[in-house]
Amino acid sequence: MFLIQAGHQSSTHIAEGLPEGRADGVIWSPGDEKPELLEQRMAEAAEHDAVQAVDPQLYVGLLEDANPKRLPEYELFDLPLPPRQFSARRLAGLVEGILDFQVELPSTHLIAPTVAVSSMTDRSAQVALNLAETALDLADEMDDERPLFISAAAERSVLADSESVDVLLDELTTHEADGYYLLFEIDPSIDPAGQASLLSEALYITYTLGVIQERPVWVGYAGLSGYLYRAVGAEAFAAGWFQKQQWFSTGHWGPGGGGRAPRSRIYLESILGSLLIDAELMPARRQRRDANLAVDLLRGAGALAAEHAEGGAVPDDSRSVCAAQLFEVCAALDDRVAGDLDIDLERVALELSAAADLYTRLGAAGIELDGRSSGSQITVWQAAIEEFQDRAGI
Amino acid sequence: MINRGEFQDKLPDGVSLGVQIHDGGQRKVFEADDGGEKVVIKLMPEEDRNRAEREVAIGSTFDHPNLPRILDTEVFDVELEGEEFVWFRERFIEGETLEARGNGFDPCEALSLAADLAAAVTYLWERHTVVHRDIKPINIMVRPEGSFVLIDVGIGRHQTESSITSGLLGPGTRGHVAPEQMLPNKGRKLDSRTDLFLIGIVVYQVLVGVRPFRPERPDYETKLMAGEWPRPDGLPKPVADLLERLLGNRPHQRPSLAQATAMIDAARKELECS
Repeated sequence: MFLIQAGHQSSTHIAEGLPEGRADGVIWSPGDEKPELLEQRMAEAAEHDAVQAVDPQLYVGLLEDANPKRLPEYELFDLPLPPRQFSARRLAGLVEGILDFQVELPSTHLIAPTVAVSSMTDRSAQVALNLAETALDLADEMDDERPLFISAAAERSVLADSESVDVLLDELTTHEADGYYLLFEIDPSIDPAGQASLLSEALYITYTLGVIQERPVWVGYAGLSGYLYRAVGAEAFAAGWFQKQQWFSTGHWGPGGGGRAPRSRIYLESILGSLLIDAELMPARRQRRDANLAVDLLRGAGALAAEHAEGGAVPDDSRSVCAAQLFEVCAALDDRVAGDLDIDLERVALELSAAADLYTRLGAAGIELDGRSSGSQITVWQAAIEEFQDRAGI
Repeated sequence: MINRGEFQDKLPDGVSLGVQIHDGGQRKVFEADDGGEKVVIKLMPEEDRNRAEREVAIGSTFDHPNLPRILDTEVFDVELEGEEFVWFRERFIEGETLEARGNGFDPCEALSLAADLAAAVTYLWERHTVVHRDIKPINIMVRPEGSFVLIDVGIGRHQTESSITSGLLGPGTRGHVAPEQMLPNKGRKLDSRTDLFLIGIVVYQVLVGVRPFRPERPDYETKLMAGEWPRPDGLPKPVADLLERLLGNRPHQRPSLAQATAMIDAARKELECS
């Protein structure tokens, strides 16, 4: 399944996804939606038979100097959250309030609250595990048949240490949850060289919970790397239009929040990435060194890609059109997954190799690519899959 | 040495001590006749009172074909030659220990053993949140008709007891421990997946003739911690797959109880075991 990761702004381009059937559902962000509107938007989404769940975003409560945006309006928990709130006596009340809030909404799945885990030996891990355990206990008592997903948010310090990942998995698998909603802090702007190892550990977590433990796994804030999570056993991945919805970071909740508006980008199935429309795609269309380059780049999903492929001079590159293109690419990648680990990994490897060739051709054609368009994700993903296969013994 | 005559004299009327069937130092197990019913009497030193009380508290509620029912609801004190002991009665299980029965199981027999042990472990965990922690051939009875009973639940611990992570290797037996039992000071909790690992060791042993991790070898601990064990040739795939999962080095690599049961059932079906 492909789910739209809501966030950054109210109902971010969800209208481009659900009604057109480009996405299977939405993971909602209370921090970005007024309480009265959230219910309305979810009711609208329900009309499209959308899978939907609300990320309770409790992890924001522990951040220093966070910008909680609209979260305080929900009055689900104090912001910032005082440590005493995690005492055994108060924890149940905290979790119960968050679950009750979701129960009242037209969610199809419930998500247990969590905090971001920075180390398996510090308090954050214990709090996260207590939250999960408490949620499962409460779910047993609730008269609600919707699946409750345990959530876990692993910071890069956890992903950087395989022993910590093993301990995290040992703990997460102690209880038989209905499923897992996972958030991995893999910020491509930090330590690019270390990205592959972090991603391989995230893939290993997904594989262990999805394939070995046979549980539904949703990976949030996945961007196009959601394709890899799906290939190793995730049931769903989520991505949103804005950069901040492409990878998880508690830093997204920093003071000032907003972030810059993205330039018009086109996401392309062929390169498993994106290009700036004006500065990269158009020159690629115009160049003469590689006659088939544009055709090969634009092959695949998306109405915007199709318009460019048909030679439209300057197709509409409004945000909503670009968002729709992203959603169509995500949905197409999601559709590619056969659900057989060997077949899917082999296919991903071939597609990464084909994408790498296209980036090489872009370079050879003299197209200069900016940092986000450079294709560096391809080598990271290739290395991550190799490391993952070693780690998982497959 | 226990003075049998003195112990017999101090037992209630109608209880007649039979042969000693196990001698674990201060801990003795006797056959006995209790008003015409064959029972087992377990005698332990006073220092083991907590363990005995735990065994009685849990075992007296057992209603499961693969676990022994304790017949008393409390332990009894007895002084023998000036030393304090406690004792209690348990239902007698006809048959012999798996240790006495020996190895050389065929795949279907091994799967039957796995199924019975998994059922016992599931009951212990789901009803009592108890981890047995010492599943080994001498703690498994083989009934004459071929079913298996997991005995000696007294060393099992409730998962939330604080002492659960302290002080291995006791309980647990070298050659029959999971990697996480070797790390008592790292805050690792034990759960039912520890017992599944131990079932994996026993199933491997009855099929192959030796344990997957050989305690007599100097590299025993290294191999156990690294999860390196020799994959036997010639096992049917469903059995090999089951061992692979049960002997997963980390708990998260092992199946859940429900998954293990399903795997065993599927393997039995595939091999057309009766």
